[in-house]
Amino acid sequence: MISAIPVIPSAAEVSRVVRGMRVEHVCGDPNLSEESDRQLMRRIVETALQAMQTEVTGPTIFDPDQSPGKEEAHAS
Amino acid sequence: MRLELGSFPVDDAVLGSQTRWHDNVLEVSREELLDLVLEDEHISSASLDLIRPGESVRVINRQALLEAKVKVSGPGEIYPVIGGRATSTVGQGRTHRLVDLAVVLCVDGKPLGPSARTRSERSLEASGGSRNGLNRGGYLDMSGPGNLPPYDTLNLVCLTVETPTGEAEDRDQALRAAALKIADRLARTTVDLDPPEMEVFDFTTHDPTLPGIVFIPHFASDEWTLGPRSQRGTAVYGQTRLSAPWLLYPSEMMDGAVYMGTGRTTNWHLSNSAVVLNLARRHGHTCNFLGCIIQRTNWTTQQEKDLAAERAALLARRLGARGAIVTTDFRGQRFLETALTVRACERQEISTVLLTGEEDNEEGGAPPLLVSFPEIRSVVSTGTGGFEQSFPAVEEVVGAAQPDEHWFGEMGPVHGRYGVNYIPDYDGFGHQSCEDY
Repeated sequence: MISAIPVIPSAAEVSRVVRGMRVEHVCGDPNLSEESDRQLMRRIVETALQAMQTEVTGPTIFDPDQSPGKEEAHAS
Repeated sequence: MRLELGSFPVDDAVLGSQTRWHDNVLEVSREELLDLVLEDEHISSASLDLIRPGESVRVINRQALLEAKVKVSGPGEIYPVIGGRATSTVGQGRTHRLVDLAVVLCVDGKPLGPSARTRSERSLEASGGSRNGLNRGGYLDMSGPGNLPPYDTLNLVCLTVETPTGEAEDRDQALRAAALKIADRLARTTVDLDPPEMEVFDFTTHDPTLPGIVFIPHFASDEWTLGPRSQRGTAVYGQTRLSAPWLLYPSEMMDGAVYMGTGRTTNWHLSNSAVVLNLARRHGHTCNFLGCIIQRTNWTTQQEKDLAAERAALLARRLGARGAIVTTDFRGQRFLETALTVRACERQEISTVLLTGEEDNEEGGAPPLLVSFPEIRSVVSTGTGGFEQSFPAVEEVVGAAQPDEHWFGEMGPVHGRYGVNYIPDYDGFGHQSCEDY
């Protein structure tokens, strides 16, 4: 799941949560130039695709800024 | 900050030739009040009805509930800044209010006569249950099991207005002005009179031996969809924008500094807040009521939510709070922000109680709170807003020119899931309790 507020899906025990931008524009940022926005969108979606192929042990948050790495996080 | 609050009980409200309060009876001139409302060119027709608690009446199309209150001395006006009122800080001097009375605003799409109160013509058995079989609430019963607090003691002056013309902001402005005209006119019946009941709240003196308490209500801002300058939604001194927390004296809230547009809780609940009044009455006796930290919600990133929670908790800490009562006004991510505030306060060593409604537990399959943290140790639940009984058929419906027949009939239970509710209680007005098994 791509979410701007990862705490909520983590509490619902969603296995893979990709950190998005804002609730009103999760996969990009309309304040950037069109090119930068597209690159950002691509990075977020690629992180999501990468996350789908990653083994996880519990709810895990994936941060597009830190790809290809990931950050382990738990609901509590 | 010292406020004198003069209360004028209303044991009964009746229609009459003039508008005045005498001997605990409010007399209301329908013609005078409707003339006031129809001065606005955006409003083509309106109705006025009185409803006593206990009458077999169902109110539909409700949009707002207001207290009738007026400043008789001291700076400012009740509901400051709203609809062009003065920006002066309120909460001082003397305020007069009518008690056991509220103004209800209903909005109907059709042209209205002087009264929007309709008796059922067909047999009550003939009209079926709720549409689609699923009851999503949205009405108010003034009798029977559905007559919940505070409506079980409120005489209602019900203004029904035909949907005003214009864009959304204009329509909202016209509706707000109409409701305020009625509330103001009724409150002004008390201006030159001596209040039968008087309370004095003085927040300028502090007993240093008493623990400090703050009230931290959360109010969603619609800035993310409407922009920072909209006049729609909850406003603090007229500001609806998403801002850092506002610190108000309790008496500022009593004078309507926090104004609710059409929404989940109401103006009546805010200016009459059970938490504010109860803490204010304890000020100087068992606690120091340090203030109300008005927290706005609907920040849209995790980081912003964490920041906002931290600022509210730090403000409480710097005021010297040892305890806090926290409330919310909406579900979803706004509840998350409320939970984050509770956590941040506990981390500042402020004992915090969360007063909130619950999510439906879906027969034990779902948790009562959307999110929770170990720091949330004390919660007072006001229930799910669901209603497990049926609502009996009623004799009259108020709030529409030609209400659909199904409104008169029996309505099924309201399931309380996913925020579907009958009358949600965000402010602690209900009288529910629970059994521990």
